[in-house]
Amino acid sequence: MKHLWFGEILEGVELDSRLESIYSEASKALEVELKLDYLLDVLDRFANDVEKGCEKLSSLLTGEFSDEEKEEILSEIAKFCKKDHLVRKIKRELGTEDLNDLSRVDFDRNIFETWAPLGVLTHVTPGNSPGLSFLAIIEGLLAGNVNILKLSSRDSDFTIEALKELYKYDRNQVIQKKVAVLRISSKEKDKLARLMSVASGVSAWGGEEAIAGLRELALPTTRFIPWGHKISFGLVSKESLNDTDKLKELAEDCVFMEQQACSSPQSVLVEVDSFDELVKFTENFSKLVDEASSKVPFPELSIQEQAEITNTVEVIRLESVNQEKKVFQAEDKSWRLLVENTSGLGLSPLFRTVWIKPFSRKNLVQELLPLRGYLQTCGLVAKRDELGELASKLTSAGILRITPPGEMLGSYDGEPHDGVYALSRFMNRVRAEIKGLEDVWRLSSLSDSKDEKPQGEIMGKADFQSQTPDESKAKLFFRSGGSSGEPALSPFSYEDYHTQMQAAAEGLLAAGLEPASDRVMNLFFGGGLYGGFPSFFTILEKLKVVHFPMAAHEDLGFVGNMITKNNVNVLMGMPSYLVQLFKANENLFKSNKTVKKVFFGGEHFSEKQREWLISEFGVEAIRSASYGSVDAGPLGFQCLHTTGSVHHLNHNLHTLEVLKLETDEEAAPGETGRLVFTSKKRDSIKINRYDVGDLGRLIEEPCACGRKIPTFELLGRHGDIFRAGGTFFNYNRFSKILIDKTGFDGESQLIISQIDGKDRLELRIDEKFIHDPVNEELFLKEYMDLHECVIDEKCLDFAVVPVDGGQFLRTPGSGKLKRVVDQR
Amino acid sequence: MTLQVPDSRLLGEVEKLCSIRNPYSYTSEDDKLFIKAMKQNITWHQERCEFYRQLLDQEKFSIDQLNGIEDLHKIPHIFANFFKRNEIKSVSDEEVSLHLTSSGTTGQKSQMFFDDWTIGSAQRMVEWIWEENGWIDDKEDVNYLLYTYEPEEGSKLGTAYTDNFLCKFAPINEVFYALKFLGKNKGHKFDVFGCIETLRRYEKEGKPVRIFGFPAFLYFTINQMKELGLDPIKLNPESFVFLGGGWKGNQDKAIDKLDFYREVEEMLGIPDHRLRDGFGSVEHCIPYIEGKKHEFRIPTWSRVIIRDVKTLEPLGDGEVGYLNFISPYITSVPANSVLMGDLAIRHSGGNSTYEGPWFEIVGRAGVKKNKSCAIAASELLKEFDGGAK
Repeated sequence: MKHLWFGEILEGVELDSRLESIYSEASKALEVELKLDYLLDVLDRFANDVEKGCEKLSSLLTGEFSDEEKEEILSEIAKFCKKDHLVRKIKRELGTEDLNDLSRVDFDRNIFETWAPLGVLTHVTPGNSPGLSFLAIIEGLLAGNVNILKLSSRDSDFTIEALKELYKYDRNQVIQKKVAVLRISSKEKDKLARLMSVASGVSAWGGEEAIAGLRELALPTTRFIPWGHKISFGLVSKESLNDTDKLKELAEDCVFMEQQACSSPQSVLVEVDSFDELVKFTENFSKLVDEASSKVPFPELSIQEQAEITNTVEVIRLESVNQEKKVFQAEDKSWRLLVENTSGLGLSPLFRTVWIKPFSRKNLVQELLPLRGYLQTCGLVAKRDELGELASKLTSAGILRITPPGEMLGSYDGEPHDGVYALSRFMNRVRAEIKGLEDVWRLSSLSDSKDEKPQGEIMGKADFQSQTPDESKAKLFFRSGGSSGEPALSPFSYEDYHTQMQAAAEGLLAAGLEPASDRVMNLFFGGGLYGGFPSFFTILEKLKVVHFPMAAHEDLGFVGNMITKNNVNVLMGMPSYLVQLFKANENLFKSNKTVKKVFFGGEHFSEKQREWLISEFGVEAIRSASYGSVDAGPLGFQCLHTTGSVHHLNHNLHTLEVLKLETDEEAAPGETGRLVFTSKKRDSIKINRYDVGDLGRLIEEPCACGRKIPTFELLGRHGDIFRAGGTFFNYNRFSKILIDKTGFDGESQLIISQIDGKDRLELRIDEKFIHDPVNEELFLKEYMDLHECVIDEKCLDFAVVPVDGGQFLRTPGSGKLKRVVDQR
Repeated sequence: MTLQVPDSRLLGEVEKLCSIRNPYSYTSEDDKLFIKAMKQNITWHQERCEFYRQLLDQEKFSIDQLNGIEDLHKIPHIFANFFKRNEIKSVSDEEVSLHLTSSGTTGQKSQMFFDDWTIGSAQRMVEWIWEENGWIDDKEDVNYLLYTYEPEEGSKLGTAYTDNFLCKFAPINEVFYALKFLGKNKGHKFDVFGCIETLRRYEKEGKPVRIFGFPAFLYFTINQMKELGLDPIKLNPESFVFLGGGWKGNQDKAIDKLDFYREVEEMLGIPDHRLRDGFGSVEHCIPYIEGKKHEFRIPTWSRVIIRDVKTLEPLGDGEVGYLNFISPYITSVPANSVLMGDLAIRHSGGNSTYEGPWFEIVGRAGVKKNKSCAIAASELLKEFDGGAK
């Protein structure tokens, strides 16, 4: 007899000594950190392989399972464990996939809430349901619990072996440290009590007696989560007594799976006024049942099962002698309908045995009261105008599922289980009031937590665009630049979109937006499939801040008026539009200094222009609204302490790697490299190690804001970096000096050539946009590396050349400016 | 008090059959008498019980169809369960001398009504069988351990009635009840340590001990002794164990009968042939008592048919099916052909110690626990107030 003990295999009696030290064993298991992202990834890999067929597991499902059933069990397991399914389940059941992370519930109060694991969760599953036991553990793991499953000694090794299969994918060996499977008989009360003594929750499946026995053993503080047996029924309204099509479906429910499911009808309640009517209905219904029954071969029953049927039928037959009862039965006794003119539900011996009983619409709640705690599914047969009343009666009566006839056994993804969402029962809802964190959305950003290094090939723009999005999910499309120069669309599911906008909203909060008091005008460009305006509309909506959705409106006078008239203190938009806006409303804004904060995106905001806004118009803060790309969504945000292009990572969306320029190795700490992002939350499309084309470096020094998530500085586009005269240079530095120091606002290009073996670097600038004088001295002064190389080492010649705009070298397709041209 | 049928004119043959003193006499004369008595009994109920009359009509049965013992199966049978849900009588309330409810394990309690003849006749049958076995002994005082409910005032539980009645076959030195009555609110509680202590005391006293009642509780006592590592008790070899009433809600703990007897012999020192079980029920009171080889012997006052669980057709010897008891002894309720909730096999031939017919119980006819996740009648722990009334 094998037990699985937090990753170890124990033989028989070894268990006793472990149970002695269950407290220390459980506390060790509780200490193990199992991240949801990791768990989902492992389960997804496992599920994909099981789906391809797993001989080993299939062979373990011996005995009573047919090949078809085996396949079904494994396919159920695979379906359940897919990341997609699990994420949907988690979101559906818990409303969020961010578990165990205290997060704000609103912006008005300093209240944080989260879902946290219960602790040790003991599962007692019914015998002969190998899939269920395994999936129960998976559910417990999703909730972050330590799981102890009690198997009966009669159970096969399936669950243990399936877990061992799963552990093969558990590369960090943490899942296995959270799971124990023990073979303990229900009679071994001492051992069970021992288990229960550390359990914060007991998830108990099975019949009345089994559940009552477990409840007795559980501590008073333990959350007892019973999944007891249930009763279901069909209900036929007065107006539908002759609705043959629907009754045919109901008859099929009565036959399907021999009524073995808890959602199979055991009774059909009929809205009639007399016994005669009830008998008449049954006469008709019996024909439909006979028809449905004849399509399905009748199974071999055990003598007890057959006797259970005969016991029930014969007593009703005897009672029919002088009471309002009647038995309708197939000649070959393959099905039977037991008519009884008393209200309430009957308990059926199953195998195509159905009670036909009357109900009164007026008293339905009362009539269902005796079995209220057992009620589950009602297959409702009624006309359109009756549905509302009957459904509301049924829900008042305690029904948990209402289905159309013929679909009583059906289910949908993410449906509540017997009236509750299982995951919420397996977790605690924790509340916290924390002051002084008004700019922080979630507490995980303040704690140090390392992501696992992503695996796989690096994706480029072309790889990203060659993906075929999942059509069922991709519902929202924004324009993105195409790698070939053609405009391309980036697909999003609404789930993805909202997750991303939430992250961006959290970023704005960090950057100093105060939703309780700020008045914001959204000036991002909209239309033509651009994402700017609509995205920020959603972001501001999430922040529940006062919002004027202006977009980059052409009538700058009108915009200015609206701003001052409505006391708008925050502007959001592209720097070029904002500068134009301030220029156009210079007098108005100088006399009426309402704008205090500016959040920008899409372009670099030059220092010169920033200074202008601050000194002339009384703007107090200018920060990035979000760093991101259309494809990958929000990637970083600024806080009150970050300056220039330094950003914090949107850590709950992405993992960040900084890789070397020429190889896929990790860059040294602080070294400039390629920013490569892996999305943890993206369902319509995959973003795994996506090189967004930006350069940057990780900042090691802790930020004054206290966030311990990765912080990085953006350092331009890939391809901007080149080597000349033995030194690395960055186009971005030249461009920044031009803009920041001289107010230059046109195009510029670097040409590298070689003359007599010496590198020459020429900075060409569009002469039309020169404002302050631009010369070599300026760059040699501002750019240290350039000074060393040109003046000290004399390895490089450097010149600034004003040119006509037409002379710039451009890409053949899109005509885009080549920022760096290497002619060596 | 002389025992007589309610009406000797109408029930003379019934009285004659039930007055056969030798319980295990089987002659063709007996068969003929049995048929005559059945006809009288059927007519008796037909005329006095509206339900029974309607049942015979519905089943289109008349006593004319009853020509020989092979026609017995044609008599409409009534499920014992039916009596649990319906009050049926063939006598007036004044004539009801005893009203018993069966100590049913689940569901409603069975209601059975007895007149003087019915209960008296059944008790006489018990006495005659005990006499036949040589268990009636008025010479020596014995100590009793009753695995049954300590009587409370006004108790209507049938088993308590029976077990007390059995104490009259040997003079009482002391009676100990295993199921102590703790008062109206607390009901009965099984006192296992009291039982062990009592057995120890009885061992010292050395008098024969008679143990009657539910097998489950004797089993628990033996088990507790073993768990505590107690030495076996050596009771007087003239001691006697007579069980009955089944496992009472402890069906899941039921063990093989012969294993159980072996343990009792080992732990209490009572020889196997003095360990006997009795099969009977409130719905059908004829005593079926084990012979030396633990076979349930069918006495001459009754016939047993085994019926197919699906078709209800009679089955041959050696086949498993419903246990159908047929006897004309009962005049108070039309329970003359009762289908029990048990599966059994009938054997007509004897074994080495017994020539007559007997049966063995195979198990309950019905499902204790559903394999499905649908709630089943048999698993509801608490009765609910719904459905048929």
